[in-house]
Amino acid sequence: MPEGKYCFRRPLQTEEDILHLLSDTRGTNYYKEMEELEVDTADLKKRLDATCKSRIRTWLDICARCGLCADSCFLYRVNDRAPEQVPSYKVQTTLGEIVRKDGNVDTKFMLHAMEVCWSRCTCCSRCAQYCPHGIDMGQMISYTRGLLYSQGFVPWELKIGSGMHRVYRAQMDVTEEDWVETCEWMAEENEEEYPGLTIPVDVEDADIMYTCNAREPKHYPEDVAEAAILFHIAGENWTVPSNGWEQTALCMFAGDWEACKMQVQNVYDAIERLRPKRVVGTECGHAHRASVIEGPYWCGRPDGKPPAPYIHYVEWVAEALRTGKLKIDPAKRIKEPVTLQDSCNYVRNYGLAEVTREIISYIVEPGYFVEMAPNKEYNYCCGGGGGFNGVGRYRAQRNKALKTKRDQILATGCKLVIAPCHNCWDAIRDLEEEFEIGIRWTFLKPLLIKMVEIPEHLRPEQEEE
Amino acid sequence: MFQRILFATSGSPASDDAARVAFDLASRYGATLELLHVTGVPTRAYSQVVKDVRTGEEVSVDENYLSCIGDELRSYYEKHLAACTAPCTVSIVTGHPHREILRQARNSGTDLIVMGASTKGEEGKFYRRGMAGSTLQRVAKAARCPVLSVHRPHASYWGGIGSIVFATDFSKPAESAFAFASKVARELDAELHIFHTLDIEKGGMGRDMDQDEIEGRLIEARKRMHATYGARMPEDFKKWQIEVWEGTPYVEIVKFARERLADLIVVAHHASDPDLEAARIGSTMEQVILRANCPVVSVNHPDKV
Amino acid sequence: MAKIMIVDDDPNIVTYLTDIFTDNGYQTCAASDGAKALELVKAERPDLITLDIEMPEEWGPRFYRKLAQDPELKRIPVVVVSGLAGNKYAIPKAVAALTKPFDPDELLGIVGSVLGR
Repeated sequence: MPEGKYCFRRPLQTEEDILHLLSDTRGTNYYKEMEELEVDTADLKKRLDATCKSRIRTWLDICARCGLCADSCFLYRVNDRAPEQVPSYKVQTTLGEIVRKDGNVDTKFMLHAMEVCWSRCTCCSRCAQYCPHGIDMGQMISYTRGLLYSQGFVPWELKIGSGMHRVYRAQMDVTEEDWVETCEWMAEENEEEYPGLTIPVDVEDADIMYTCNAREPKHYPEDVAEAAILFHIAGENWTVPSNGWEQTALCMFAGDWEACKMQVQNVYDAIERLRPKRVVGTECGHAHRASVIEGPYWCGRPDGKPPAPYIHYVEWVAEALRTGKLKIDPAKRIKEPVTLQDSCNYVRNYGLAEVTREIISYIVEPGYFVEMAPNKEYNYCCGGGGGFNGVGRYRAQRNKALKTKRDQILATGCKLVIAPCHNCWDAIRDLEEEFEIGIRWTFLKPLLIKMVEIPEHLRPEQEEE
Repeated sequence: MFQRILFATSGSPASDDAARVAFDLASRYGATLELLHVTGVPTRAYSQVVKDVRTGEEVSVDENYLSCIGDELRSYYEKHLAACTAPCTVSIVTGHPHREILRQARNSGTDLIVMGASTKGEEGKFYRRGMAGSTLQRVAKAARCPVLSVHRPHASYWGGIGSIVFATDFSKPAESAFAFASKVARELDAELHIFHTLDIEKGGMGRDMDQDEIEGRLIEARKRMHATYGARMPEDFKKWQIEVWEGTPYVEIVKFARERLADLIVVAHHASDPDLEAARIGSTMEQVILRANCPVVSVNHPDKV
Repeated sequence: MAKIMIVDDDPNIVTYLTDIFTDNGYQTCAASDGAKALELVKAERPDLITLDIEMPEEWGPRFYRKLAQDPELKRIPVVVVSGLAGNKYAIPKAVAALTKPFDPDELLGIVGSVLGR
């Protein structure tokens, strides 16, 4: 069977496409059809010729299979050091084979490669720090995902997620109307407690344009409200775009580069339309990677930068604390052992480790912060990165992967974990559900709101006793 | 009085008492009744999987699942629906319960939300995680309309509203609560007991007040209540009275309502509760809800009263 | 002869209770909801009332509240007879609360002791 009713090479382009695939609960038929999905080897070869350039080919060539990457990989360690989990092995047996065979691979091979790329690697790139040749296996797997996606070999949830970006320019079915309505709603819900609070939509030339994750308006708009409250308290001149507010890119996890470009270009268009001085993204790791690190290249921006300086939420928080825009009430600082989850995407791969620690120095009573071991750029992936969290087919593998983070947290002795990344937050939530180690986890925003001093002129009128 | 009632239900025995009140109020006062069941809490990151709130099982949401749950809910309330003279609708949604209840109330222009009191144990376990406060606390805090809840079964055995206790602490939300209580009393021709507790623990600031001081303060509070509330009663409405007792507020409110055979208690919700989780156990509102012999309405905002 | 007023919307229960009471030497009268009961209680001045909780128009506790507010009626003892759970809390000042199905001898015992027989 060349292509099936549910499983086919072309991307999901319309709402009907999405609903159709969603109707195949858990992708049962989708995966069944995939077993017979033929590989368009000519197309794969063409794609290799067009995109597999010197960097990837050199990396594949110079990889000495020395195995120095093995111990750096949390999936290798957590899976009893199985040779199949050695990063170089994972790359060589997938991408290496495709390149060596010049695209002449069969369905069985592609199914195997899909399993390797989405269940044995989270693209955390920790191994790249240990390779004597500087090969980034995370990048290689990510590139391989793109090849697999183009042939229709991608986990069901990510095919849908990527379709969502194509149809809604958001990872979930949140329309522009829904979004603007949610902003109004959240302002209304909090304006009594924070008089004057607004969520300004489409204000031109603001100091800050804020972007977020569609799951916020969809499921926990409190997060949008919290961002608004903190900007309000800090006295920022800020705005959100009515269109182009979604910063995430599940399509990046899916390897759907075309959708990645569409998604990020949408945000850049908003920046160009509203001309903010800066853009601040939410507490999300992969969204930062998509919109700040990789996005400029997807969109072919010559300077390799977004249209305006685009910072991560932790950078804004650290700056606001440093400059006194946000003041912490010292009595309300965290006075219990607390640890911090470093997100791979903006700590290891973007260098914000010290920025988050600067925040910690303001919000945690000295002596209570406990580092995980290892930490900062050497920290392990939460266990759910790169799309791993949401793929039902690999749930068992993902749950096993969570043990690394579980043990790291247990070793700190902390019951509170600060996780300023949606993916990490989800993974830690899931690991508590799975292993019940009795921890709490949180984004920065709710913590800050509890301890920040509200300037006199922003307080609600004093109530009578 | 009530035009659009939203009944947020777990579709299980935990909501039976609230159901009795919701259906009765809708039929009795000619309101439309919207049954809302939040069936699953989104989980597993961006996936389509939700945690079924009743079973704790992971389920994939699709049309079929939602319509099955809708049918189950309709058959669970078959008798109520058959007997209810008010127009009823059923909505099944997924999401975080408090958020979806608030969303629906906002979209429907609801003027009263009815819900069971905090569910304990398994049912709450899955979505409470990582979120402060019970669903009820969160809804009561943010809802623009009054929120009615029932905890003990017999609190739902009144059938209509004829005697209201409005418990005031003179706070700003209490203004909204008063507006609601007095409006209901006038429109339904019910008795209105305006009640205040002199909190003897807080009032004494750590020392015991002597009885003269206590009674002096009771007299003061009475005067204040006459000035604050009595003055705003329309002349043609006579069925109100003022009472002040000393003690611990939630205990006195529950006792007073029991003594007066009240069938509704109206309290103010406190938006300023700094930490919902910490406030959950201790708040007067929650304690009154847990202990009252009648439904309890909490009011926080003046919008829809 | 002591008179018992039966307040219940279920005619079978009314018949059943009437039989039990008349067989044991009481007079009876009956009302099918709280509103009718209030008129009847004034006319009949019963010595004891058996009261159901949930009824079509006016429910038991509401009727009890009106009874309790009337100085001439408030001393009439009330026995709650209802199928609802937790009914002993519904009218805390009732002399007893029985849950349907109930033991007729238990009811007669309660009535007997309250009416001093």
